[in-house]
Amino acid sequence: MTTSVVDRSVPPPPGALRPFQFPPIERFELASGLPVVFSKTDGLPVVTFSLLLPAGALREDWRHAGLATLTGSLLESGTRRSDAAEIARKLETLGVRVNVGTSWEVSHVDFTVVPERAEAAAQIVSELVTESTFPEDEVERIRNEQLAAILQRRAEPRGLANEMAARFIFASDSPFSRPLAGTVSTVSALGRGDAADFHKRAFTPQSSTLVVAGNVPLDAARKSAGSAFGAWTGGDPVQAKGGVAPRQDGVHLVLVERPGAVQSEIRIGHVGVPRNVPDYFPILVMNTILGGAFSSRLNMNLREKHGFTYGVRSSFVMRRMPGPFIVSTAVQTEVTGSAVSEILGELRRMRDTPVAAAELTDARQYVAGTFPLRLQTTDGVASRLAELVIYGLPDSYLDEFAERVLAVDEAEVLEAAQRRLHPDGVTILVVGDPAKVRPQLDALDLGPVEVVAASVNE
Amino acid sequence: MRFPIERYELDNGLRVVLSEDHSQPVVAVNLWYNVGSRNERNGRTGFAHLFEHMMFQGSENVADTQHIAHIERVGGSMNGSTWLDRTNYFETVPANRLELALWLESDRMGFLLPAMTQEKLDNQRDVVKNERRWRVDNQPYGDWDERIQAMTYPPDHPYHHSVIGSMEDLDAATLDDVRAFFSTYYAPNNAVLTLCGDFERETALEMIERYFGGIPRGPEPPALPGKVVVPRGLGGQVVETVESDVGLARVYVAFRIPPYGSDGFYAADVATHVLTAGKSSRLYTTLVREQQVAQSVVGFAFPIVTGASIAVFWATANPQVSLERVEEALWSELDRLRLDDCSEEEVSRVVVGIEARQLISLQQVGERADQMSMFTMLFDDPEGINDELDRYRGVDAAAVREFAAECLMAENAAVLRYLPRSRGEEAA
Repeated sequence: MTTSVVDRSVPPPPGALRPFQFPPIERFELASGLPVVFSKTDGLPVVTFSLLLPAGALREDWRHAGLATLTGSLLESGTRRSDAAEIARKLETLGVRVNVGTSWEVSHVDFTVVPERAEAAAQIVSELVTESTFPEDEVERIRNEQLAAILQRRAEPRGLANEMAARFIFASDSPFSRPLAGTVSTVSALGRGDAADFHKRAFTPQSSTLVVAGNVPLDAARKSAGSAFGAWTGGDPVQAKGGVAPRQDGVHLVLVERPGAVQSEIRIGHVGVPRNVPDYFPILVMNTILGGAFSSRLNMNLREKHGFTYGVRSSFVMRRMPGPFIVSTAVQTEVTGSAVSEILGELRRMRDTPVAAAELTDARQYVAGTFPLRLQTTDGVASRLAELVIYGLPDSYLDEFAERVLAVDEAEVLEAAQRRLHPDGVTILVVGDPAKVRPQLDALDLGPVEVVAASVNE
Repeated sequence: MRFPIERYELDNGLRVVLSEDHSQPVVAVNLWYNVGSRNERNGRTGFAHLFEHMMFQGSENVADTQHIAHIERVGGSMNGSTWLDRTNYFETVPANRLELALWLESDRMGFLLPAMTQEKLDNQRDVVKNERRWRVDNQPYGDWDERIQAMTYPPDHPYHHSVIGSMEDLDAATLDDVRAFFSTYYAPNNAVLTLCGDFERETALEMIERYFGGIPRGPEPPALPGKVVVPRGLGGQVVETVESDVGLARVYVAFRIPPYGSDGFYAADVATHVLTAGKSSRLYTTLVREQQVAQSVVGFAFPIVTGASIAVFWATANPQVSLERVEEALWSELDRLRLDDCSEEEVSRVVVGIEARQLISLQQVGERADQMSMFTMLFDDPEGINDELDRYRGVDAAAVREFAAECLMAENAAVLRYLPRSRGEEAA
């Protein structure tokens, strides 16, 4: 081949756009009343099932914090037909791993499988969901696992920082102030009866939805779903409880002691917004500029300019109720105070000055353009369908996503920053070496520093 | 099912792999360079990875911080990673931005050095040191792989040291090192370029020739430092005990195993799965479900090719359970695998699981491209992505026992124990 001359001095222009389209969404209902949302994908021969249940942690009783997580974890522990070992063997013979996840809003039971084994897998999973028996010994074992996981998270600075940040951002009677999987005292008190009772009230086709996404025909999805969940019965689910309020007004500094730590885990945040917030798209674009991408202001400042950190991100965690807005990073101990100042400075700059035109264009294209990348997998498509279900979004949301993002303008970004970022009302939480970090936080002159032990109140 | 693969080579030695898939309007561009931490010389551990960071700091026609910005602003995702045997760079972009990705990759392959400055090096050195603190020094069990590598390979083996390297060696790296490393290893004849996704072959080949064809071939890279060949066994048990800020005690047990790509490796990988993959695995069943001595068990075989690979198992003790009990239970399961055949049913369940997870992960063009680069770089055979499952299907119960009998002995194990630091020693 010959070597042609190429002009490298400018980036090459785009080729013709190849538009992306979300696969069509089909909806149908099983004989049991369970609604099914289905999308046929074009990729490899696999299919994802995701059963969304009204069994999230918001539905558990205060005193039983961690019960939703425990109940979900126990689904593979035994049914009327099979013990835990048989369940594991049957699923793995089909090449299936079931993922049971519990969030605040829902519990979801997910698996991905090749089409020819989909019906068999769905039937086993339906057995887990509808016929769980919660054997006493397994309840004890899984509860101990959950307790051990709490200990492990406390010993791990990132997990500890996330848990503590939630506690100090939300009022103590807001459910989001507590760890989703409970505390040592609440989990220790849980027993078989609690799990069986929660299961009875929350694992019901009423308010559940089955999401199916994969390269299978509609008829096949209908058949697998129907043979698994067509005869499922159950009553009305228990209702979600609790509201959301901030822990306090003004700036609040918290230092969680981790003597000898070579890095400080920093969390700076406040109560954010719910998922159905009217300025959702401006917030998305604004946060991308602030700290939602590698090229964001926070990362360019803390990492690429100062070398304080391996990375920093900001995010609005959106739930049905307002989740946290939070900036997360880990910096070397010696620069903890400087890093906090730079982060607060970036929050203020977002509110004080309009973003540059190029910044805005880049951020919009990043958000719109990366959306389809996550739809290469059946699991990614199922997650988007689940988002529609959980937050009650219209189907058109998926098709209009890019258009809505690209329409966000400079004024909307500024307004979103001014309405949604509150640098004068943040909790600044650091997990780090108290001897070295305390003087740096005092020197910021932002108010008193509350020092807490890693093990406080468990 | 087989992925379509076409293979080319440019005059300058760049190997090119193309795999079209028009089901989504995205394309993955993936480059493997045949250099990893195994190539590092004494006193420069961590340098291959530090160098990878420098590849994102701009090149002759790409301004500082703009490499990543170019990809992000078209809605692409990208990254790079350094491992023992290789360094890879990859992006997935909208199909109409293929040319942009090729421009960026070719500019840093051919024209990196004019953009290198001391300031950029010092900045990325700080970033990488913070990466080390984040991954290793401030993380419970964070130095396990560093310790296991040092215990499993002799000091003159290229796998003796970790990818992230030591703080001292990171401090010692100079701009001259950057120049020398680039000239030695970053050349088209030491790389594989794979495209996977929505593109047309003729257009893509023309672009690849245009952007990469003019980059001159580099010198043949030098042989690996140190001594690559090691005996199968360690020749005695190696034990280390670490007291640190961990929540629960944990034991790691590692063995030298045949290198990735050999029949022995596939037997080792199946054996590892029989022991630890999923809730029907032997270690989960015994240690976690039945005896309840461990909170969790993990095991895997490293897909690495230089002399010998590693199989490692770890078990995290439940609170109130001594690590000795955990180790006893672990060893009795390893012994059982050495002494008795496992059932063909166990083996076939493991292989079905490997097939399923491979299919699930290959839905992403980026993952597919990475594996095609890998098979081309390591084994000169991009079709490995289509053929590897047959290697797994060729493993039977006898092969598993034979592997276990040869490799999984206590006297050939590296045993690393983490114990929670006792309260009395905590700093004030």
